[in-house]
Amino acid sequence: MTLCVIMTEAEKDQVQGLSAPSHRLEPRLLLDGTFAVNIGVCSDPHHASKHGFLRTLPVRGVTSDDFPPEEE
Amino acid sequence: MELANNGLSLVREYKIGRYRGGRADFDARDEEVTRRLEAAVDVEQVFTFQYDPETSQVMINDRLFKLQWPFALYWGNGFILNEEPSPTSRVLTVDVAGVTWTALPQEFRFEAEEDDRPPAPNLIIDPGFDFDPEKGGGSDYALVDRMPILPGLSCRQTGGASATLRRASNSVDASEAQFDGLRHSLLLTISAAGTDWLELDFEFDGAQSVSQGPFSFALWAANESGPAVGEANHADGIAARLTWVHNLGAGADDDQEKAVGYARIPRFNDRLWYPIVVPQANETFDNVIGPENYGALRLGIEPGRACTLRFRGADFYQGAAPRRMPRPDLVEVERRVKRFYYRRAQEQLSSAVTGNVTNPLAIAHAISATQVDWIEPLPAMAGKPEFTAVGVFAGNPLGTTLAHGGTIEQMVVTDDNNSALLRMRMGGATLSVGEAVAVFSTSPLSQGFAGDDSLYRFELAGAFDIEDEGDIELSLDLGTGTTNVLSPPTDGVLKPSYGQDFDRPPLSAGDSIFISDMTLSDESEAELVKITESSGEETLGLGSDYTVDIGPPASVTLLGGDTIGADDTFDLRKPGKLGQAVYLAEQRLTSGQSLTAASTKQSSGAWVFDARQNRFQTQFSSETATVTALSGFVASPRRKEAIDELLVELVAAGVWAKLDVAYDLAAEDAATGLINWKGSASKNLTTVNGPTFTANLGYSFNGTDQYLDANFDPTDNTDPDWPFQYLQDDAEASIFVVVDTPDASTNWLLGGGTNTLGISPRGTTDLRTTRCNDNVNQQGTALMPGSTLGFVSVGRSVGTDYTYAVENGIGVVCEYPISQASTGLPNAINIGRRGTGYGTGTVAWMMLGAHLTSLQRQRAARALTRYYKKIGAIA
Repeated sequence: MTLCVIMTEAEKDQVQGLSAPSHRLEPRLLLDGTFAVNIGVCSDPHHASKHGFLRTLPVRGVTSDDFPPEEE
Repeated sequence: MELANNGLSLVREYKIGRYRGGRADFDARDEEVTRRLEAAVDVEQVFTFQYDPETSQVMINDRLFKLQWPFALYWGNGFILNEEPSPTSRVLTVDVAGVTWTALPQEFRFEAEEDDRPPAPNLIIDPGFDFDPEKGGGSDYALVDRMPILPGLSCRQTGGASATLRRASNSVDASEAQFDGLRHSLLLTISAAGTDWLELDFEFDGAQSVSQGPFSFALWAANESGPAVGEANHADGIAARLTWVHNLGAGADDDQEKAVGYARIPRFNDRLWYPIVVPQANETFDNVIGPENYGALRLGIEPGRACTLRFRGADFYQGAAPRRMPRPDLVEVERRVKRFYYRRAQEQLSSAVTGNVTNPLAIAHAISATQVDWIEPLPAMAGKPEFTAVGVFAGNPLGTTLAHGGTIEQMVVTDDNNSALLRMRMGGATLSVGEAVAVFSTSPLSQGFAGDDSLYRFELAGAFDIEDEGDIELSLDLGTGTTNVLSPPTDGVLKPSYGQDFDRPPLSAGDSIFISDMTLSDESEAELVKITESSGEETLGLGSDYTVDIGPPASVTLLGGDTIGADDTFDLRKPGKLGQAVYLAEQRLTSGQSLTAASTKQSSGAWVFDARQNRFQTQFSSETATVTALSGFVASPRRKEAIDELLVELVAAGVWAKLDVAYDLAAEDAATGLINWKGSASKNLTTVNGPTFTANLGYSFNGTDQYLDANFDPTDNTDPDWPFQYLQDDAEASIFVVVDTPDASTNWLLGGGTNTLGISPRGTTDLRTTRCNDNVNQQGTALMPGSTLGFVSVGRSVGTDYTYAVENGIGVVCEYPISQASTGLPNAINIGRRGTGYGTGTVAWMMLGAHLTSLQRQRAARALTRYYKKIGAIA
């Protein structure tokens, strides 16, 4: 299980993308339609510009079962 | 007939002059192991003698005879016999009766010198023989052979019918013990044939001899029971008369006859030597030979008798310091002698290894504690020297003024049969620290130094020229293989060189450098260079010789009190001018500090010692220079060395040229780990969702959402770097895995977009899963035959199938063919992800490009393994 920041698609659009050169966020789609990014990014200085927003979002554990099955 | 014996060595040249219109030559002009006698006599027969001392075989007219040394070939008196060696005469005769030979004996008789006849026989013992002690053996005989006993001695037959002359045996028995200088004697056996007494006049002309002594000689005769004459009693068979003239002035005849003797030599069954002239045994004519001296011996031998003469020289080479002889030939002889012993010394010393000098100052301490006033010459060749000496010099020691005011006057190489070394005459010197001369009473190889250290090896290298002592090269090895060659100057410029330094592995902990104020040559960049400050402008002001102990960085204390500052750089690339020298040695550091060094670029001669880093820098390959110059690239000097090694190998293997992108994720900092080594910055990696970077290990992925995006779309023909080498049916994608922690059935550590490329070295089911430009996951047993860590690669060169390659944990890349047709190119390259699948683990390297051959995979895997071992990513 990975502790993740959970967000809606709109929030995902706000979060994803380059936070700094060579460093970007890309929340993954969960089966329930929300998106998740590992909580480690909240302490990653490369994403400091987004820390404030990320910390307003809920956090929960995510397992592989929460993601869509791996596509072939 | 004339016999000319040019010397007493194995390499001799006999010339048998004209006789009755014929000619015979005894010649050994090429190799000492071959002697040839060609006789062209008036009966138009040619007889060839070839003797091979190594096999003791003689070839006479193409017939091979086995001889036993000593032997003699008689060609006088009409026959050559073949008998067993006589235990008393030590003469083996050879029967060539089967050969057409009947006319030979008469043709080889000596003839009296008359106007209408050929020249009288003339034996000339000349020092100008072809002297080469290296080719000789170590026996007494060989030594006798090589000694130029009596320069200026000649022999001329004045009467009698025929005679044979041969070199006699030099075996030592009790009866010969009276001669304590056997090795300085020449034995010559003369047999008289025919019916008349053989008369030979031996003359010694001091004018032809050396002009410096000490030197003396004596003439001795012994009754020789030659079997050829077939008589039982040789009593009273030899008479001799000697006249010795001293101080013969110009134009004078025999104005100062010193001694006249006459002897009839009785037979001695035990073959005692008998002085021809002097009644008292062992009495000799001791004279300082000079051009004013003249000696003559008339020897008469009864027909059928044989006599052996001993010409004895003494104190000629015994311990005499080398000096320049006025006669060039003697200088050459002496030079060769010295060179011979010099080389022997080198061999002896090179073979002796007893330990390491672990304290660079130990020698200096030992030196300072050694009081050396004078090193006497060897008492005798046969004895051992009182002292043997080893010199370790930071400069040319000759002429060096020593602490108490003496000077090193000479350096000679001698031999004590154990440890022939340099010997120095130091003029009453007491050595001091910094002069670096060590003197030992025995071989220094096992000699202890201060601190319980011992000399590792002392090696003499290079040519030794006795004429120009300045050419002596000392090669000092005080450690585990470094050789520092100090070349004392011939032109006032000291030219130390590195010898093997540039061909050996990097310096290791404990290595030291030396600094001295030697004047440097600019002849070679490989030679010593000056010390410059980091600015490269100034020469450090070191005033005298120093032994440098590299201690902690930025705190290098020189012996002389100066220090090497933290900003000092020793640039070994620059040719030296007047300034200080740095050279490397493998002395152990007392401090135990590590002195790391450059590794592989010695051949470029580009060694830079950076005191700030306490290590050597190197110049790198052009690829390394390019990579490390990429924007944002950060690497320590040590890392650059590792990078250079890796790139040199990848280039050499032909891998580098095939790559579109290459990434060293295990960089020293996170940003550098994202840089595309192939140069295109647009394809630098982008972290996605914060994969964890660990310096010198790589990027780790959580298997959930983290990966690295190569920003590389092989399908994008609008990319400025297009066309790519990575093609659908000519492709290779490789990673180097350092941590492998799967938490799913597939563990994608490399992937290509939504499909088509993927490497999952091992999933939770221990299956590996791969794709290579196709859309089907191919699974197989992951753990065979070894680890899934390390080099893993997929590549294809055809459209029908591809290869999965994995290093098997013991350095061998195993390849597994997978039958799967290609379907297309990936539209992205990700590390830690394939499509919607992710991986867990740590990746240190990724490269992608054209298909690699098996050998290239092997070489790449090994190079990467070495690289990551070197930087500590893997054990």
